[in-house]
Amino acid sequence: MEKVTLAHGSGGQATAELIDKVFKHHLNNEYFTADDASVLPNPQATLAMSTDGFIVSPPFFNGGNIGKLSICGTVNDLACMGAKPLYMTCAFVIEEGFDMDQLEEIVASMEKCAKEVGVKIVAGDTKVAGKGQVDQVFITTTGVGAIKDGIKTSGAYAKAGDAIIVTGDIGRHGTCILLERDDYGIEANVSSDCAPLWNAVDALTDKVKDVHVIRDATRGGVGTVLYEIAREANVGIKLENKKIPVAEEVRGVTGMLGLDPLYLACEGRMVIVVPACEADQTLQILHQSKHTENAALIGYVTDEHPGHVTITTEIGSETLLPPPGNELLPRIC
Amino acid sequence: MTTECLRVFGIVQGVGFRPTVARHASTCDIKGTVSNKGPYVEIYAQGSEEQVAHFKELLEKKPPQRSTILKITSQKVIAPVFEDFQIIQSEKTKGEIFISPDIATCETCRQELYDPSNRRYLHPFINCTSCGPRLTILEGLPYDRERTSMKVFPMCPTCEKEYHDPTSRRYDAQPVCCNECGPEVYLLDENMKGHEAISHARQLLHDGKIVAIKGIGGYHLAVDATNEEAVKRLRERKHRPFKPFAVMAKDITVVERECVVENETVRDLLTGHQKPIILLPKKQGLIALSVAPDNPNIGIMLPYAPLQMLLFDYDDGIKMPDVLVMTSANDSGAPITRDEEGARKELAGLCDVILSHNRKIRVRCDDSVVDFYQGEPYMIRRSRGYAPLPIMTTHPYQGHVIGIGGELKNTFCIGRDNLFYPSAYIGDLGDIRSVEALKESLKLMSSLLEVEPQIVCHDLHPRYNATMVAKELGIRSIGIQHHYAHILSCMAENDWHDQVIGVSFDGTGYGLDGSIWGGEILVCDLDDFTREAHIAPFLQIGGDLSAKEGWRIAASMIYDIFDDGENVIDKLALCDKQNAHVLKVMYDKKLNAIKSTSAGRLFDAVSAILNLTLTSSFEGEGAMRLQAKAYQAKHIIDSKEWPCSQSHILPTNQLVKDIVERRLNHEDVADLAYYFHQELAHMIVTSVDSIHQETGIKTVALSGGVFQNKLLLELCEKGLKEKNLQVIRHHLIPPNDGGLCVGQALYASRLLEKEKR
Ligand SMILES: [Fe+3]
Ligand SMILES: [Mg+2]
Ligand SMILES: [Zn+2]
Ligand SMILES: [Zn+2]
Repeated sequence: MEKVTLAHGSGGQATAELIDKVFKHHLNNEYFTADDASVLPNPQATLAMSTDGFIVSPPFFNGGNIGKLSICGTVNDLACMGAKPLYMTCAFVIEEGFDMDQLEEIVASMEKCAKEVGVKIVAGDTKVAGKGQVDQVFITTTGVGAIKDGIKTSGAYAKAGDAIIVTGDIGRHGTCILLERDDYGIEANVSSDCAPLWNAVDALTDKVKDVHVIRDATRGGVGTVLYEIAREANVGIKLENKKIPVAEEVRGVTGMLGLDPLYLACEGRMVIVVPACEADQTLQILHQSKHTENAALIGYVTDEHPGHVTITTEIGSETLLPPPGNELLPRIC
Repeated sequence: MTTECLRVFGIVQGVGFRPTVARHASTCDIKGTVSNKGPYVEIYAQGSEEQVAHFKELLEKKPPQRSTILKITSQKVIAPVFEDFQIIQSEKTKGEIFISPDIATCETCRQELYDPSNRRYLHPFINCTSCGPRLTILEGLPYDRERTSMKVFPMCPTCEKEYHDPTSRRYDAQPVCCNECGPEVYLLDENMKGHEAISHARQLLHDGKIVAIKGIGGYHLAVDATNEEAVKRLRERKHRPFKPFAVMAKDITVVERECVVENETVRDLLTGHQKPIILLPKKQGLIALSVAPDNPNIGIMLPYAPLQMLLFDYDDGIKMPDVLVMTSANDSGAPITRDEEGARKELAGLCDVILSHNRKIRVRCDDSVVDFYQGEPYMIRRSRGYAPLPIMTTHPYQGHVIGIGGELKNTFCIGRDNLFYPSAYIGDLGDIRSVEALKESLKLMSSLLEVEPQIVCHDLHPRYNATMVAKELGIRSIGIQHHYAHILSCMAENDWHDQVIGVSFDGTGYGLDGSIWGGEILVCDLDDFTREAHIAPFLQIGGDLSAKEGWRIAASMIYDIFDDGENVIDKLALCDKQNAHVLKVMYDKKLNAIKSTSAGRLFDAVSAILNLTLTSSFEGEGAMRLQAKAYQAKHIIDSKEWPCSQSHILPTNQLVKDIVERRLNHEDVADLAYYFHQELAHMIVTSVDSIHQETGIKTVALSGGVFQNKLLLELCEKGLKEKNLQVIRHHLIPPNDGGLCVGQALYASRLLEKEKR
């Protein structure tokens, strides 16, 4: 089986071959360039731009791989600003000895994901690092998007009375990666929620102009995002535990591990805050879009307990969601 | 003729102090005045030298029943001639302030309540100068009707007359009222009041229904305690599968039918004016098993408000059960419900009807819970009847401070010079409504006590909501370590100033090193502490879940000790193979795992190993069952000499290993439960003794929630005394987190003092 060697990163013949065989082959579009920079038409819009580095161990997991992840991450960041993703670049750092077929698979899934939302990958870079200097493969993506007319979102725009919607069941990606990393012997098929959400956001913002906040819940999970919103807008957020969608398998695994799905990573879930009167329509649109079929209203913005997120449990208690950072520290005496 | 100005300090408000003074004055033919100054009662006594002396003697020897005199000052003064002896209306003076706790209905009032010829026959609000609500109806000081919830009920001419008549039992009784002028009982949101409402509630209770009843410091949920099905229904609705319910018995005879009333002290406390819930050994009585499942004790109390008495005994011919479950009415986690808005919101789904009334409760006050240890009361929850009586230190601290308290069983403490006022029980601050209750109560108590706190002391735990409340006060805040605060609370209660060896055995507290502490032996003085020893550390895996699921701690310890951990776990039936494996991976990867020396978790683990409690449905369940089992031991296993690898670590891991091995050898569970207590105490005593040898400190303070366990307490105390060490422990301040605030407040006062110097 062919492996990536240091020579592939030297800039010479082997590099050219790698680019031809893997990158040009898969990322074929009119703007993709082997020149020093790609030349792009002026999109005539307010632009959004975002960049993200991706490290995930293992790079292949149930429901995706690091390539798909690197596209979704940046696409979703742009989508949160109401921006249609136009162009992206990607930079690879590959560990010497990485399997060439796997690299191809990664790049192929990047292209597939990019196509789904119509973003063009227009430039790339490849470096090969010595054995042990990186863990298999790291990818950095950068994207530019055109903000749709009339859309203006920010964490600070959440207002008391607004509805809080999450675009699908939470904590999948974090749980999936946990299970991939170590063999817990748990018979649970948990796939990552990794997905590009521009099309759903596009459909939503066509109809609902007054979206206050869109945030993608990645590393810190939905809980962290909710706290960010509560603090930025200086509002309280009140969740109803039974309305928070969590897949049965995820609930089972997190229950065993004593983890809170609200604090587990997602890679294809957004928190959307809209005026309460738009909640039904928002849900309706999301339910008809790909990747957001299970969107749910999980709570409301309030003016009580500003800066905090509270949860009403099934047995009627009203607890404070532990602020991000210390969630693992036992508190009970 | 001489005139003396006397000032009486102590609990002198709301206990019929001034009328008693007036009666004594008339006995001794003293002329003059008595007035309530808030902090003290001021008396001008005019008469012959002998008359005045006699009067002073009476005052000291026969103060009103419920009062507590801390000191009397006297001074000869030049004064005009008084015509008679008069009670002067209150004026306010700043200074030492005492707020009386609520006082249970007195025997005389109870007799009047059931005397058909009395004008207060069956009056649900009967009270007198020596009984009735105090703290819970108070809006401001001094204690006068216009500063209580009674201000909206103008007295009828007859009540007014009694109120002003020095010979009446209701002379100057602020909440005085009668059937004509008093508050009214009714069913909330149903068209029924007075006699009809009470009778209807009784009928429902009789039929096994759940009734919410407005009491003194909040609502209770009541149900027939002899009706198994009714009790189970209440458990379902309250989402409370096992935690014992308190019961209220009609009278002492019923208590004696249901429980062992060991001696006069217990009986006096049961029938006294404070009427806490008392934990007493269960007898084979009529109380349903599900009231306190698998528990050797029952929490029992007698009626302390007239309305409660009427539930048992009324003129409607309904044959009522003579024991009722009386549990504080709230949603799980929420503070006790005190107003009708809360009752509608939180109780409507829990009960079948709400028996309410229109006398407002100003301060929430749960029932107090008292255990008995060595024939003396041992406080578990200090609230109604006790709060906010202060603790006094002999050291003259100065300034105003707050100890904000712990996260569970929160109470706060206001320090005002050398007096420390622990609040009524607030609750578990995990629930945001309890956090609101803390803020509200703190505000009211600060204003009642007229303090402007300079400093607030809180716990170090980064996730405590109590700390958040402390920081929001906008005054200087300071954090102190949890287990040190426990020891300080014990020092405060015992008015102790010198260095101690503090044995702080407790659930979970945040340690100085960021790990979880809880089985700590500290050397403490009022300024600082050092951690001298602790139990063997283990991994607490699974966050808050690890505090509920003792099998997790047990499994984690077993992975530490045994190479074939999964096999041992399987043999002990701690959990299924799947969970055992998951925990092993987490253990290996240190995933969601934190280093811990929590003694509470050690008890949970042993309780799980002995298969007594794998998962707790309420705090302390594992330890409670373990202790109960230990009392059934038939055979005492010989004590071991434990190898001490490191002198500052109690080899509790070795003890766990020993117990696991003995258990796998099928040794008796009860014997092993006792053995665990015995050997843990043995290790504590050994460690304390070696610290004593090194430091020369001779006094040992025992505190922390684990010392609610009377077996461990007894074994430790005995062992320490055999080593000629002096033991100080808790009496009327709880050893658990309910007492934490007192230690924090003491620390703050001490800090202020140091800085002034
Ligand atoms: Fe504690
Ligand atoms: Mg980004
Ligand atoms: Zn009375
Ligand atoms: Zn009257």
